[in-house]
Amino acid sequence: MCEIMRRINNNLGLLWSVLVWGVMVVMSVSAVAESEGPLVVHSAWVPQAPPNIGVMAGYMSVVNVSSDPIVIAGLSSSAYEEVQMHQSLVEDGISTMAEVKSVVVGPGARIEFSPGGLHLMLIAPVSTDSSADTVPMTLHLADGGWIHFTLDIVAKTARPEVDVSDAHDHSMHAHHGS
Amino acid sequence: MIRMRTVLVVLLCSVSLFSAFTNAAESMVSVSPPRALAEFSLKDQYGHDFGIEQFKDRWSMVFVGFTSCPDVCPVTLANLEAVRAEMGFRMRPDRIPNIIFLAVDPDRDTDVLKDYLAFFHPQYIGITGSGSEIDKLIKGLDAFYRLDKSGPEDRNYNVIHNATVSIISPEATVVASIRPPFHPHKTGEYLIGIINKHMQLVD
Repeated sequence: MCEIMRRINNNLGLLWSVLVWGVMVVMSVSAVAESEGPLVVHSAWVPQAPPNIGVMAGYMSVVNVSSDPIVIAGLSSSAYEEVQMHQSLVEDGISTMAEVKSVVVGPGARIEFSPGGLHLMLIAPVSTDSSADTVPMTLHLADGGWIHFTLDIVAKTARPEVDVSDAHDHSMHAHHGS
Repeated sequence: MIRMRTVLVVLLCSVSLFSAFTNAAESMVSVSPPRALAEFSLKDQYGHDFGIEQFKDRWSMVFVGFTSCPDVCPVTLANLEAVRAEMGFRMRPDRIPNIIFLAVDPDRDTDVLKDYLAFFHPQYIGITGSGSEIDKLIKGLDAFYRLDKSGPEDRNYNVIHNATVSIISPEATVVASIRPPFHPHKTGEYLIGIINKHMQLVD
């Protein structure tokens, strides 16, 4: 009898651990994720815009938590006339930028949209109102799905540090538009 | 066998040392003898004349860019500011180079240059002007840019340009060029060496 009770107690302990860890994982994911589903968008931000500038660059991390590849087909925002994905490159001392039509996020992979590399081009703001704290965004998937999220508008003095050694990373799996 | 292995190790070390030296040399190149700039006539962001005279009596870092460049240009400006801050610990303030943003897209740059630069740092100097005057300075810097327009109506065009930053002496000569990545410490060290060496020769 004592043995049975001990086993039940052990199993309850295991169940309790699983429950606690499960809640912690869900809490930690919801703390960073701004979307649900197989593609998680987090750490999405855009620098505060200089005055009268018609183009801004936005940044984010995307993580594919599924076992299948996911294709990002584009983005849109009610705050900008157009949103594109662009890749900055420095090759042979020449700085260029090219539009990227789609980005493939492999199973379990993370892709960083970061300064000096792959980034979002926010073109032509529809309003000159500078009081907003966030920019609404929709990420469109090639399979017809979509993800709503927001870019935090970050003041110049509070920007994440830029690691120059990682800038211009050519290694992401991106499909360049023709 | 041991001798061969020793030779191989020495060879490998030599190759890696050589490649490290080459990488450093590629990203930071001194111009010897310094190359004099030809006359040019541009305006700064306040509408004041900016020509060869404005390079004199101070050190400058000239960066080719454009204000509709939301990604690389702000990153480069921030990185150059970090280099300046690093130099500030170990150098006389009057020898620390000013950051000069050569805006090569005057149609879109001229009206917004003042606000654009003030947003990043009050001390940044921005210069622009007619295409022909910009080209004179570009030629003097041995630099390059191209407006990548698809047609006359295209307003969202990209500008392809040098990522290289030119270091200009107080005699208005090009003494060095540096390429990204700009590591505050390494790039700062290099510039301190170049500037101090140049000042010893001039003094």
